[in-house]
Amino acid sequence: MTLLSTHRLHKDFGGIVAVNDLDLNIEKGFITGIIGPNGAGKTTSFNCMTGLDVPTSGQVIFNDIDITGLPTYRINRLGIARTFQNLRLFKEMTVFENVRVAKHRTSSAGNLQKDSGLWLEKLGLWTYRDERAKDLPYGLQKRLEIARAMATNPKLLFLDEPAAGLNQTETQEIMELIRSFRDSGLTVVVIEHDMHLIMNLCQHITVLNFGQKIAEGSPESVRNDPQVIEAYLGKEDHAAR
Amino acid sequence: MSSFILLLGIYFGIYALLALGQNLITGKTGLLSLCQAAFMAIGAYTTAILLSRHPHLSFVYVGVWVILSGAIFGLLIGIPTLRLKGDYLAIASLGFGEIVKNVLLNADTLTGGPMGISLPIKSFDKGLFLGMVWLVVCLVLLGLIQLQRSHWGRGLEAIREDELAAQSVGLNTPLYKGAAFMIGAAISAMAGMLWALYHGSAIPQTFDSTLSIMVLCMVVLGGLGNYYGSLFGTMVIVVISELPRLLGFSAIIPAAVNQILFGIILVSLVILRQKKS
Repeated sequence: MTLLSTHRLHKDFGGIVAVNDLDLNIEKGFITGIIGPNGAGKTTSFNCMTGLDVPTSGQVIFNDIDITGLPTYRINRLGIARTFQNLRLFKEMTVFENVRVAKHRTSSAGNLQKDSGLWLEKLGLWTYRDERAKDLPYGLQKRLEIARAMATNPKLLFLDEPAAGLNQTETQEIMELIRSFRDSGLTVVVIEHDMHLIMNLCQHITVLNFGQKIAEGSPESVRNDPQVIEAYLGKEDHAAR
Repeated sequence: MSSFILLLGIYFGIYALLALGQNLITGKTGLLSLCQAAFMAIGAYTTAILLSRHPHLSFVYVGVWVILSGAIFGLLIGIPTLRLKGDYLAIASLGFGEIVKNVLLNADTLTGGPMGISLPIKSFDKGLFLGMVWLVVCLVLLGLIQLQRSHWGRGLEAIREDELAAQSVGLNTPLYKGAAFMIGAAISAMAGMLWALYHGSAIPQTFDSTLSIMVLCMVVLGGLGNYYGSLFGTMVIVVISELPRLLGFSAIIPAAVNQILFGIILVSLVILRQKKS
């Protein structure tokens, strides 16, 4: 079943086309990967789907609702949460406050404190609850951003390079975390350059280049797709030179 | 002498209100607005216009209108500037301040032009008035601290920290920012009301943009986001600016020296802060 789809999604900045007539289908209950070389339009398409950028044309349909061009907070309230490529935490606020602000809408006033605490505990951040977000080590900041997004109780989670800058152990932990979300019924879309993560985590992969979809399918089929190899490595005669 | 100390206390209280309002907008929500003087003028002129036409209105009634008109003008500047950030907002709000001042100067029939409006009320006992001012300050301070502890307060802080991220966790940021402007402006309007009542008049020259800069200076001095700090900052600035008069040097030191002093304080604070972070 399709949870989110885009129809001829198009975004240009002045003359530069970032997303070009993109048709995407995000299946419910799966982890979908979006990959592509730098500048392929991955983050811009994320932004269009989460309201940070307004698409030039095209449609974004979530749960049978047309969410094209809605403000970010409305989209979040409908059930889409996201993290950012470069961390965007509430730096001067504590770990606890970061989660509590996000949890407010999905928790009753009496339970807010307790729920936020439980949530931090579940994500292994309870020990750091009183630390300011900016004082956490980088890996935990990444984890906190995911915790904050998940605190809004989304149906669909967009992760923009969740493993960037993490070491192997931390990457492994993030992968397990994402899997556990999926197992509890969440739909996840991941942008990532770490191919190990993408190939192991995702059931479905979409490859973008120059704002267009050039391939999609299972990890195996994408890995062997000549167009994908070309996008990443260049054409053979280029490589031979 | 004691009467001068009372006067200082009254000024301290009125400026403290301005600083508290500014701190909500700038310190808590992170919006660099520079038109506290205009909001104060709205309050002063609302008071003056109401009382000059209906001298027997109760102060509570006038106060309600002052708060309402302050909030409305807060929203008025808030809405078009909600999309602006940082320096752009600062410039737009400065412009708003100038518009208000020029309207006051030129809309003679309503505002009395450059001469302003005199209030048909007898002057207050200084001690009594001091009590009244500080009662308002305490109530406002209590309200702001209550706000700070609420979800709304944390939402404002989240917007200051990162507006996009705040939106992405479901905060209706335009609503929050509009509310911050409305409350901040209403508080400043109350300061304007007290000012007009105490002086028995409202004249446009009082509400110059240098006043807005001075208020910003108080807030930065006390620490952005720290309400008690704003009181401290206000006290320091009020004492410094009244010191020549206090020591009887006012004939030697011209009033303009104050503005040089504020400039120096602001610049050195900004440099010091940058070093710390």
